[in-house]
Amino acid sequence: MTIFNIIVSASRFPFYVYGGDDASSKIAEADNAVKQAFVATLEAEKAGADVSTLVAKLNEAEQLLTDANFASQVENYSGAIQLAEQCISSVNGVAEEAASQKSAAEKNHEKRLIATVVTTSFGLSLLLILSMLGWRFFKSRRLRRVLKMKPEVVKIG
Amino acid sequence: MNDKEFKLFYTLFCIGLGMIIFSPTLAIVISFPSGEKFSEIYLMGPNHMAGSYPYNISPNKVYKIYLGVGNHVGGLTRYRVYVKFRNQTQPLPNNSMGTPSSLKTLFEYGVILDSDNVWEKEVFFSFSNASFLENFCRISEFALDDKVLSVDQFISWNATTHGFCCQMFFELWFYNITTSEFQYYSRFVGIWLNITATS
Repeated sequence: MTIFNIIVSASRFPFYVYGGDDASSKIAEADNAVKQAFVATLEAEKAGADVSTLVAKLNEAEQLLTDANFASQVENYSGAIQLAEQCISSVNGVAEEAASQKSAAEKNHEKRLIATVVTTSFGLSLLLILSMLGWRFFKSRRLRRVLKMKPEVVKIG
Repeated sequence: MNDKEFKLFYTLFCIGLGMIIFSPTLAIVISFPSGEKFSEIYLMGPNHMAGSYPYNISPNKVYKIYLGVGNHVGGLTRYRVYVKFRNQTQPLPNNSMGTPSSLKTLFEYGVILDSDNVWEKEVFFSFSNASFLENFCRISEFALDDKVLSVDQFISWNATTHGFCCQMFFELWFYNITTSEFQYYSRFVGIWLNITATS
């Protein structure tokens, strides 16, 4: 009777043994999450954003992913799933943060470009006006000098 | 200086000044060519120098080397370093063909590096369950850092080097965003090890 009770009470607790397929699909999911976060961070970096904090998060996720791969390799499937889940949560929000950093960097770049173009245009216009005025000044000064010159008679031959 | 020379000098002076004023815009719009772009992988001995690499390896004794990856490609790059182990008859990667070794990956390191950054790691390794026959040595377990890996490798006696020589090597791979796959970078480093029975 006691043995029967133990069997009945044990059967009330649900348990699940993870297999290689479960681990593989979870690892693939984690790998996909890291890939997406990496591509988003790469785009943000190309746009000129400072991605150092995102890179630190990605490296943490990458470490968890390789550990999950190793756990799966040594057939520790529950460990692999746990590590893959940790990897997914560690990379959670990185892609979104990278996208917002990218758009901020693009706006910043655009602002800088407009400011530079405006400054350059102003500088070039100023240079054009000053160079024309300068040319007129130098020309009139030269003309005055020529007019002040006295003719000199030189005997030829 | 005559009129013509003065006019030429004045024009050139104005053009030069205009170029100086225009240069900040030019620097934003045009990207100038940078230097050579490459990635590197290296190994250093226990003294953090390119020498004194462990060679005579006793079973159950832990050895240290340094593994490093450098990113000089001018942008963020995702790398994988695959650790492989071979005896003298098994294939190495073919760098001229750009193909990795067909041997099984024992372990992998993953790192994401920003441009002009270097990742370096102390790698501790040891061999266990080594059995020696007349002309063969059999290794069953290989420990890398705190992870024990099953290798089951037969190493034959090398009459030239007078030892049971095998090689541990590290292949550098990078993530290709076009194909969404890791691709062999045609770079590997390795060290030769002579498995000895005694310490």
